[in-house]
Amino acid sequence: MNRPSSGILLQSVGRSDLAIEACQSLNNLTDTNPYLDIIIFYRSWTLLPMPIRFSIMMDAECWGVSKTLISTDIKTTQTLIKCVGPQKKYFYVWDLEWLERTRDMYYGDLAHIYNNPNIELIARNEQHYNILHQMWKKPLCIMKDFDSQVLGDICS
Amino acid sequence: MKTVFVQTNSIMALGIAASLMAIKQPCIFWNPQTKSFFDMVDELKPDVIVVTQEHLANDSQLALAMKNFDEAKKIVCLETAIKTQWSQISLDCADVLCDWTLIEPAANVAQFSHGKRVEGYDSDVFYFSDQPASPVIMKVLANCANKYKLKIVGPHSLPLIQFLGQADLSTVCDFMVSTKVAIDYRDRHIMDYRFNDILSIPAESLDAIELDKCINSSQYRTKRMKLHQSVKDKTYFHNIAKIFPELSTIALEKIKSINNE
Repeated sequence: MNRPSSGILLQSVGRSDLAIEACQSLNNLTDTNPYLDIIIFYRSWTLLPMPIRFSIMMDAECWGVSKTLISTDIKTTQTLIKCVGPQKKYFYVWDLEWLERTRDMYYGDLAHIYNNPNIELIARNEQHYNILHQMWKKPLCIMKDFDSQVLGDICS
Repeated sequence: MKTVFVQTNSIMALGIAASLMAIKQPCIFWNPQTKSFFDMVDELKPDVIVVTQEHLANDSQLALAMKNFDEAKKIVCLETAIKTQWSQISLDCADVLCDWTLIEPAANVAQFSHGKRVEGYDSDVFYFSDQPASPVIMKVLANCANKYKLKIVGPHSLPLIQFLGQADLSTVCDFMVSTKVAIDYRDRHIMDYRFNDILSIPAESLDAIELDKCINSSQYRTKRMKLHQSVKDKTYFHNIAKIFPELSTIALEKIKSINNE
């Protein structure tokens, strides 16, 4: 069986900004490079925000990714940390979540996610980049709203 | 020696409790709302009772109940932040307090010592949020957040992106020693910062120019720190040694071993 080379972990594929941008970007990438094998792994199923031209699977299957796996929030990063398959792991910090999660998470839990030595951070914009650099660690790069060119570079 | 503390968030009472527990003395926190004073005394038979001046100021029944109680040593924590209430108590019931032992603020070495600089914990300004947010502290922190590398940890969540969540006390200590300047509110940790040789600035009288100088010049920071009196002999272990002669040897040995570590 061929293992998928890259994947993106999403909480849900419903109509959220995150899911819409991710689907749009992957549609663009598939159009320009049909050999690029990127799958969206979702945790909870809802109706897709648009017709898609790539594969989607449940997040339980993400262990099979061989090359690059990208998480998009704290919960999916917790899955990413436990995932042994991918060679490269990235956390695309879509939202500065720790502001909301500090009530139920300790500094140690958050540091395990944001300062994890096995995971590179990807910032969403320059402002986020500076905040992440100041509070946690230096992000690898900026990817504006799932910019398909940057995503293609990361996954290729 | 059994010590009962009236349930409190007082940093002093917690400091004494932590120091007593560090030398393996039993400590119990008692909530007067759920059990009456006489039931507590009957059940626990304490050797020492520790209250804060806030309790005496706000709970007249407690003050009255303890007035004629002389079966245990009675200790009052002098909180500098509520001096006005203290003078009020002194006027109202000075006779209640004549046989009480008074404790002054000191460094809580049992909990806040031996921090180490950690890469990633470094900051220009640090704040330990161990009390609910108030307009004063929020204004100060919001100003700092715009200009400096600010980091905040603690049990009380603050609506700032610089708040990194709750942390255990050893992590808090590491954050403390990894900062250039610490913001202190209501003098809660002033002695702890001084014991650990960290420059702390009170939030109530924060001067933006002064803060800027402290952050940008290590020489200025050192100069300011030299103005402070040494607090190496002002810890709760020293206080315990003074108040309880029977524990003085063990308390002084403990502080000596902490200093040598």
